Amino acid sequence: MSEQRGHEEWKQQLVKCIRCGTCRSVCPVFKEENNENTTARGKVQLLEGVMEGTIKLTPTLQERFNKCLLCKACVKGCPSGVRTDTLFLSARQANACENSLPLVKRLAFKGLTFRKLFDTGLRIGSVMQHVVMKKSADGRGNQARFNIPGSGLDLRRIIPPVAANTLRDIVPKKTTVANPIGRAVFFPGCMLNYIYPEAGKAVVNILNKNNWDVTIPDDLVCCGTPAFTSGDQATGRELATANLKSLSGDYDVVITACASCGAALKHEYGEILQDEHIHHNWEELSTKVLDISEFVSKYGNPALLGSLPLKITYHDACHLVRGMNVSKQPRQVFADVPELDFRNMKDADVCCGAGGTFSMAYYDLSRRINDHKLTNAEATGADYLVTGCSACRMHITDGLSQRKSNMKVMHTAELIDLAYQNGTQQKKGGK
Amino acid sequence: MNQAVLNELKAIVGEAHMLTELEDRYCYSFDSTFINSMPDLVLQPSSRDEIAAICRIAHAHDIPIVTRGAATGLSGGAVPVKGGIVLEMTRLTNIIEINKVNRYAIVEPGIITQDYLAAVDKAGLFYPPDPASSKMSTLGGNIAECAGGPRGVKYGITRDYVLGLEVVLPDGSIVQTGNLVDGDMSGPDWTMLFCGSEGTLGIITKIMLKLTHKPQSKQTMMATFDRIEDAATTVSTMMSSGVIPTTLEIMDNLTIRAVENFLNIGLPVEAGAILLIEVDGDPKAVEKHVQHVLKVCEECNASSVKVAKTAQEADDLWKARRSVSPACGKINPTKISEDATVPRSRIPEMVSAVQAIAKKYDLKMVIFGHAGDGNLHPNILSNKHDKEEMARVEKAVEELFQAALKLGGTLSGEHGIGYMKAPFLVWETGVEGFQFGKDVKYAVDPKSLMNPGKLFDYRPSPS
Amino acid sequence: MNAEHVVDVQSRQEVSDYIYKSAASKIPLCVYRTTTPPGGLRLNLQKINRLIEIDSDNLVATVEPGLVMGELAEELARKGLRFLPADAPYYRHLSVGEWAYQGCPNASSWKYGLGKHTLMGSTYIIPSGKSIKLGGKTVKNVTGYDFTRFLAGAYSDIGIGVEFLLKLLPQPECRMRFLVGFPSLQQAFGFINDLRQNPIAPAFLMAADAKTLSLRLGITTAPPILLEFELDGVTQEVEAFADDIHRWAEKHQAISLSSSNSEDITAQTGLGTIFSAQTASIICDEWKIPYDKQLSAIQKLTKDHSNIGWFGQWAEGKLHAAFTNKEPNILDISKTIVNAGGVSSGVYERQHGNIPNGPLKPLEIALRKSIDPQGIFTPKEVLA
Repeated sequence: MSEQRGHEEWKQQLVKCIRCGTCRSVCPVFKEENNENTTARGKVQLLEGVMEGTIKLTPTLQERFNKCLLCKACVKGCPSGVRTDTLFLSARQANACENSLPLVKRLAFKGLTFRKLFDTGLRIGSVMQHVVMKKSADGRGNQARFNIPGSGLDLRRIIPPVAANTLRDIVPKKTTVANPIGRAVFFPGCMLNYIYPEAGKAVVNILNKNNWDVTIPDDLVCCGTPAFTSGDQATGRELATANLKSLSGDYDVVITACASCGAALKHEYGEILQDEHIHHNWEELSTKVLDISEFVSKYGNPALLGSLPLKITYHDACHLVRGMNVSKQPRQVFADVPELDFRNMKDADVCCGAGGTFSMAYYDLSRRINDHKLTNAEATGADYLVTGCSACRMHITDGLSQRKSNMKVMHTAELIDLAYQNGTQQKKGGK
Repeated sequence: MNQAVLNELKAIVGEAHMLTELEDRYCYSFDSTFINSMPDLVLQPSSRDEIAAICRIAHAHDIPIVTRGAATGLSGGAVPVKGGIVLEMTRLTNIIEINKVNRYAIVEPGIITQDYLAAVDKAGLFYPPDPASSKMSTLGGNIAECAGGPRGVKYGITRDYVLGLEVVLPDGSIVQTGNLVDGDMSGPDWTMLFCGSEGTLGIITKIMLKLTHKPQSKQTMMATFDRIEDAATTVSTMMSSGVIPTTLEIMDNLTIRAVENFLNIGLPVEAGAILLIEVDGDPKAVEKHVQHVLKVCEECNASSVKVAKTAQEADDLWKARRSVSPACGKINPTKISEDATVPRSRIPEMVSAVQAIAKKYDLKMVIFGHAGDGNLHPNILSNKHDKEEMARVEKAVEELFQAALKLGGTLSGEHGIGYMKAPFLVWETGVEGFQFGKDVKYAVDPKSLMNPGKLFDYRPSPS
Repeated sequence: MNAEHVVDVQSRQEVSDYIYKSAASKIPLCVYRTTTPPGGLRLNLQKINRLIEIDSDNLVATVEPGLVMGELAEELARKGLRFLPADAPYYRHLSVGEWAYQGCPNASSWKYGLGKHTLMGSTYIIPSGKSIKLGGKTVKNVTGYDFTRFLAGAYSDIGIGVEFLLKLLPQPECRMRFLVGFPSLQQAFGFINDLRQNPIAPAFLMAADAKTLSLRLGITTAPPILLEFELDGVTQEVEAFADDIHRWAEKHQAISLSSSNSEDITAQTGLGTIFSAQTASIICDEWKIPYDKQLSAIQKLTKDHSNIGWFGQWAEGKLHAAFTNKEPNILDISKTIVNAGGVSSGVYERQHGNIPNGPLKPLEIALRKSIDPQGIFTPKEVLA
């Protein structure tokens, strides 16, 4: 991105900031750190400083912009409508150009663009993970045996194992139904592909049960969120372009089940793609993007839902509630499930503290933010915490293990799929 | 600041709470005004004793100290215009005591006002001053600026609730003022001097506040007027004939249009003004007061009055008033909020003056505010990148002050003098009054280390 | 009080002139004190007494210090308005200037806020001899330091107030005054406890024991504790409140109760002259005590000091003493008060020309050195 154009776009946003400080009252990072260098207005002012030349793109500055969850609470709260999300992403890009990213990250992001290499790497990882990871005490996940260099994995942290079989192993590339209402293309994303494939399978089940054909193209690559949120827009663009190509086709909807992937496809690609032609293709595609809970709310047949007497609460992933404006929809679906005891938690839409790579660089801080979330979840008395983002799921599960909680976590799609299964059984039984 | 001093200060607050990097100090160079000035150092103490120790060192080495809460002030009070130390108070957040029987609270200054209000509410009591910034601002900041809020006309402002203070003086000594019973002692009223002193006399480290009963019921109304003069007359008549409303907010025609453009809720865009009125108290009294207000509105030619029948309806009526800020942002990004205040009977004249000034300097201005106490907020909507326009804004603001003073008003009803209005302070105090202010300041802070460059310590820069 | 040490002044200019003379000749000045500083002069402001303006639209009265509060109250009542500190009966005898000098006492503070917040502004002549205008007609004013209240602290002796802007309120629709007698402190405080739980407070409440009534008002047939209070507001709310009053009075074994509608503010009241009476002496505004400690403190004081009568705004912890002949043991009383968590305001010491000891004393000395270097209002020892 040319520096000139970047600064012009910055200027448009920066001028809107009236420094009122409302961002202080909504930022989860500020609430923990109590430091003006973590507020949105602080970062906005730093960018003004960069434009004036008073502030340089130093590693210190880079660090200030890294210490942000990109949860968009400030975007929502800002009375002047400053688009701090696009501004800070752009700042990370500028910083990355100036200071370059750590080698490990650069390699990892580059690796993402080599789909087959990435896939093989993760499969090997699935097999070899026990070498460097040991099973956690409660059996929910793995912990690093030692400080793995470059991994950013805190020794306390419990992460899910890489699945033995990937989503593509357990679900065919294309599933068809007898009289399809429509054709869906499903973008599972890396988490659903390699870590929580069962949730991905649930998505396909949901689509099929509602009489939609589902295709999972085998040349999809990572959505690019880890890359472009770190400032590597070049890799992000490469991945976006590849995905766009793969997703184009005679499809009625593009289904996502990961908040970050969905927000990337629906909105963020629009910020990083520059070529006019590709941008146009993206515009067309973005109108078709639906999170699975949106799909069920809009097209799902409520009669399919059988009774599911579980006590649940729901966490609104940032990229769903503020990134895709999806928050009413899962609740509408919950209301339709017979006997489901849904309890709204306090601050359901406040960030869980994961923030993607944030939780690796700032594990302690992300733990503290996560603890508030879990306290609120536990206060509802629910047995299950449901969410539509696998990064949240991973971080929340770690938190539950840390505090030895019995609460379980599941993906929204898994809940709906369970209800569908019960629905089928109950119909059979009822006959 | 030499390394030895830095080491001494670091020993007091710890390395984690001393910010020296340029990128961090930059974040502490501004508040909610548009001026920037870099501090030399930012310190984040956690206790009164740390603060006293810091003051002793600053005093010994002539280092200015600028006390800072959430820095949401609108007069530049927290901006370190002469560099020095920014002393961030937000680690002192304890509620030391809420005494339900004797109805007082003792709190540390760094607590966010909203958090304090919630705690008081939970204890079944009521603390009326609720400045618009209460979700972010700290109680210490409220005291230092003597914050107001929409409930001021009936319940009074922050100073009406301050019973006493603990203050660290510039030399590090500690004094207590007032008392927990009624705040009145003898001799000069130090509590009242420190309240509203904008960080120029000492650092407030503990606050004793009066609490009162929650109002039993309240009623919200919105009255529409063809002429803003009628709205103003309604305000005066209502109050002198027996009803002191809790809240009385006014919005002029341009404000109404801005909000309607933003919200699309069917506001009367041809109206001269809207009044948002709230009365509270004993339910029988409220019923009667509502009737009285309706009568007065009718007598003063209101074109319509709407009385909210449910809490939701009341909330909807307030929505328009709350949306003024974002609505203004849509017109022009740089919103300069003024608070030159006039006696309530002169609101129509002030409105005319503001409109004339807007025309003279070709600026977009909207007028809204707390009509009950004459505290109008003329807001200039401009763009800070347009240097030429900003020069006109500066002149317009000066004329606003002159207009307010000419009408028997004051430079600031709520925001304080700070840095922004310091050049004009002498217009209101007169030369003798200004000297008296300097003499009092000198008595408490002879080295002029507390928030220099503000209030009576303003000196015009040689230009 | 020596007549030759008192001068009547006719105008603000004369006040300034005396200050210039004082600076030149080192004769200290005072106003409203009973004890003039040695070799000093008391200026009597009673001739500077105009009611300059009643601004109904802005609810502000502009007055001069010599105007008597009772006169002001009656003039305002004719216009349907009132100035709370003057509206209750107790301080009507004071001039506005003396009222401000005493620290703005207000019997209605429980419901309507402290007296000092009824001051919207003032004009003071400061030790430089110049006149400074403070505050103004706007309800909200945060310009500069709050000198309006800083200078009006009790017995501040920083300047001489020559004009005051007073905050007015409308007269209420209905007022009902009560005089209730109780057999003991215990029952009286039980009644006050119930009153304090009510969401709305009485407009004012003054309490007095039998000794006070005997010493000050010559009443020998008083009940042990007498409470005088007023309810105000719209008719329906006052009547409902009155029902509660009757109920609580019975609950706490009141031995007498009388009530009357008191829209005529000049009507005779029970305790109205307790501050203005000329018999016996009183010490006011010295002692404040947290509400929940008052009962036991007054019981102890009554036991320890049998020659003293106690009265005051007991619902708010304000305690005054009445005595005759022998001056009470102030230190002992203050000790009892402080032990119960209360404070001594220092008014008594100031009345005798001293600045009370404490951490604020050095600050006050620094203040006086800065603004009154010639010692016009400040004792010489302080400036030494």
